[in-house]
Amino acid sequence: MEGHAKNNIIGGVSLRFDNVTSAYKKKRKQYEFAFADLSFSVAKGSFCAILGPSGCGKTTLLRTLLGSKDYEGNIYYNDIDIEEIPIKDRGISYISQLGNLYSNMTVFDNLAFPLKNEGMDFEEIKSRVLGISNDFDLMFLLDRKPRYLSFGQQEKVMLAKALLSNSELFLFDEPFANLDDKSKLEAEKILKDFSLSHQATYLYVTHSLKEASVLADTYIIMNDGRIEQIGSPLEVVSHPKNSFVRSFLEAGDE
Amino acid sequence: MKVKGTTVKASVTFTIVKWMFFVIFIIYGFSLVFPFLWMLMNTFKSNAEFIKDSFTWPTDPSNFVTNWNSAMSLEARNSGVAIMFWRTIWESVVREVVGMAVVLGLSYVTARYKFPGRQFFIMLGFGMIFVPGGSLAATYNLIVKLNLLNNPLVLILMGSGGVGLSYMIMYAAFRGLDNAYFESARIDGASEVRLMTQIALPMILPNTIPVIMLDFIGIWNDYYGPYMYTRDKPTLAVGIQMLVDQENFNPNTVALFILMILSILPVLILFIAFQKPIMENVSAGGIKG
Repeated sequence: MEGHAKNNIIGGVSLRFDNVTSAYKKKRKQYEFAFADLSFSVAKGSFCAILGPSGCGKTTLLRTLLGSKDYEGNIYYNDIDIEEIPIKDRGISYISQLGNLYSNMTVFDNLAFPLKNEGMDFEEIKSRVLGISNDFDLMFLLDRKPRYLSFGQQEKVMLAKALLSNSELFLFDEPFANLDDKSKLEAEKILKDFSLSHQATYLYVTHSLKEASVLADTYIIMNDGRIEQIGSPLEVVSHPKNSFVRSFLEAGDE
Repeated sequence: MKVKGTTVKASVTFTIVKWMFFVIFIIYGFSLVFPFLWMLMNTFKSNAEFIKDSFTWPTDPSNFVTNWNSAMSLEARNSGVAIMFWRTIWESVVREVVGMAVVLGLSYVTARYKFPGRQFFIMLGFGMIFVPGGSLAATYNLIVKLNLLNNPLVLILMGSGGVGLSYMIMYAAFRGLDNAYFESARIDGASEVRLMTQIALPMILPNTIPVIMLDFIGIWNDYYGPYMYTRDKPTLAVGIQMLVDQENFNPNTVALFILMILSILPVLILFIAFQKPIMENVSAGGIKG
């Protein structure tokens, strides 16, 4: 498996969760745990699918990394406590269901936005954006607003933007949930090609086993705020650890 | 093959109903525009002609020039028409800009940030709409004591409370923006100021242009505030009423008609200018579910 080969070459741990707990406030002094005492690690360069039914804490897990959800415990990113790294220096790209392209800006401005924030001068920004657009075949879309793009095109823009800001950690939150089957296949192919050619760590939240089986080299199966099993797809499928994993895999096969 | 029978019958009823509504709305629309067309027509008559019969076509359109000249020579409290016009423009613009800046700032901060006392400000913003304007006599006395009578600053201050209906709408608009935009903008290294000015504001602006415009029209037509507090520096709305009162005994009505038409022109131009972006953007608020 390509993913495993990749892991062995790079080695090392990209993300390590150490007894991480996060909760939502329901009422006064009443909390509902999104997850509790979560401990696991993600190898550098792996494509990790976080699988589980709705409401099992998958999305909250990503949001702790984005700094938009408080938690207790420690998360280490490249062996540094992630809270010590400012959000913009974490090298994260976040692609959610919504697309995350700023709908009020053209594709060019979307691509240029992170660079502008760094205070780069315009000529430099322009040459970089044009360069990457050329690689991703986006030249003819640069002056359009995202809503006039197909999802495949939007996805390419997002990936190009991630490359421009040198992301090392890609977070996906069910990016293809709204798509019809045909566009989903196209989008999966784009992402698959991208992940094979660009060295980074990918966390991919989904409830679809089918998507995970196409893309991922590691499964993290979650339920009700707990991790039920971590392992390579082969391992998980052939040796489900408990009845939940087994029933989840069976349901996913349909 | 097309099956005709039933569909044709249904569409005949539909067409009749459609045309009935069409006619009703045409009549309604005409009734709204008619007074202005009537005024416009009468500005091409001499005053005597107008008094004789206001519903005939003008016989000598060159009367317009005479009427225009006498309209321009009118004065209310030592302010000529041009001065009143200019005053109305800058006062309205400043009042709108200051008022909106406060509303936008307050609603953005209360909608997107968590801080102690946030609930209080939200309550204030929402609650003030139910509180009556307060005692007029007390307000007037306060303004006099502050020595602000006839100072346009009064109107700007009073309009910058930042509460009420526009606050509600802006708050809801900012609240409705998806978190994902803010999360990814922070990852992209955007400062909080840039986040507001380049992402949040442009995203809600299309939906809130109607609010801003209605607000502006309200300010432009505001009679009450300027009449109470800046009477010696009349705006168009106040000035025209003063002229109507002055001319009560010897009215040059057609000249006043010109002023009235002039006073609605800017609002009309604004509406025409913004019609397209409003229509274009209202349906495209950003996120596709």
